[in-house]
Amino acid sequence: MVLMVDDDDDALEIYSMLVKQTKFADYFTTINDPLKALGFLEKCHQTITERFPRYILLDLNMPGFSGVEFVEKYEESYLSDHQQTEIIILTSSVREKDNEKVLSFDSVAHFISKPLSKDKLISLIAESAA
Amino acid sequence: MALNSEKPCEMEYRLKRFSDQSYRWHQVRSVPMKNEEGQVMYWIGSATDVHERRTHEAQVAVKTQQLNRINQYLDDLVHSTAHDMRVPVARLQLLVDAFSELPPGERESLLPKFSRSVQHLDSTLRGLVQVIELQGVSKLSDHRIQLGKVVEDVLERYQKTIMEAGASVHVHNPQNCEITYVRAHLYTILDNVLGNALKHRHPHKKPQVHINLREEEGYLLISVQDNGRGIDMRQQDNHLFKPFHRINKQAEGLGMGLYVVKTILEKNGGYAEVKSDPETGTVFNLYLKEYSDPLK
Repeated sequence: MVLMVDDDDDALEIYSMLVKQTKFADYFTTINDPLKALGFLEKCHQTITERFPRYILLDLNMPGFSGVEFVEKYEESYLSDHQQTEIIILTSSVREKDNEKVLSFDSVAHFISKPLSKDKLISLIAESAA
Repeated sequence: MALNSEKPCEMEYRLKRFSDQSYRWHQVRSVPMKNEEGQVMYWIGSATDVHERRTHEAQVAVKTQQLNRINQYLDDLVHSTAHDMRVPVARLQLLVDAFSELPPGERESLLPKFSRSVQHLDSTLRGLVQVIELQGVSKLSDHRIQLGKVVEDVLERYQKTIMEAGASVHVHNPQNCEITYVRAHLYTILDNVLGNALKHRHPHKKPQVHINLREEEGYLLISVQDNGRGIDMRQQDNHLFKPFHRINKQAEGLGMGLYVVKTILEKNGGYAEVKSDPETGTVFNLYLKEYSDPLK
């Protein structure tokens, strides 16, 4: 399972459309609000039926609750129980130092510069579904 | 000191000029004259008026400081602009990819997204132009400007909004507050801050705005207090005054307003501060310095 968290509704919709073209539609979820995303993770965490995401693709630059706060909350609640899960930051930043802070988190694996390509996304989903 | 060391010395200090009683910088040199045994027999001294040079140096220092500030400012601006252009450009790249991947029947649904991205790009560019214009030469008002009058004018522009929202606006102390400033800048500042106070209103409260004008510690203080939905300062961190930053997705605008306000104020030695609470609303304190030419 791959979860994408971004406040850009257009981008989320496009990725959903692209994934629907493949056999992996069931393994991809998009949420446009970091707080709702935390709620979703809690649900996955509580119930066995929902699979906890293998990858969380996270936009850093969201109004209100920021990506960094999301990572902090995430690590507080889920890091120890879901060590396999990796957060991948989707960034449109052009300045390297903007990204340094968030890379120091244990759960953050790496950065991908926007736009995330369809092929990269599909390969991540395929890996998590395997 | 110099006398004891018996070595030539040189220093600069101010001497009073007899003719007009003004203090002027002088370079003072003294050299000991020694006899064959190396004993100091007498000193020869000179004092040269270097006032022009000193003044010039001070001016250059001020200018250098200004240039450094402008440089830093431009550096920040370039980065934040580049970032804000990257957002719609990245989405356009994604759209082009998606367009070639999706079957013909589904492509049509991408068109409005193309259009929104292009608009986003366009408004980012417009915002940039707005900031560049602010940096240009601005015409200083010849007369002292009555702040109360400017507030009145700006409120008139918002009259329709105020009526529709049933808002009450109180101006405290509008008389006696005068300032030398770039008139257009005053309008821009007040337009932005009053606009914010009316725009970010509380969903269940009638908007109330208090505008207070007074002098405080060498500044002219414009304080704008609203009872709107407030800003969670913890969440906003110090992004509030950054270019292209929007407080929330719902409110319209480019996110340039507060950045422009801050730029204008700081350009002239002033500053802005904000206190806010989702319970009670927001207070913007704008500290204005009298406009002065630093090289005079």
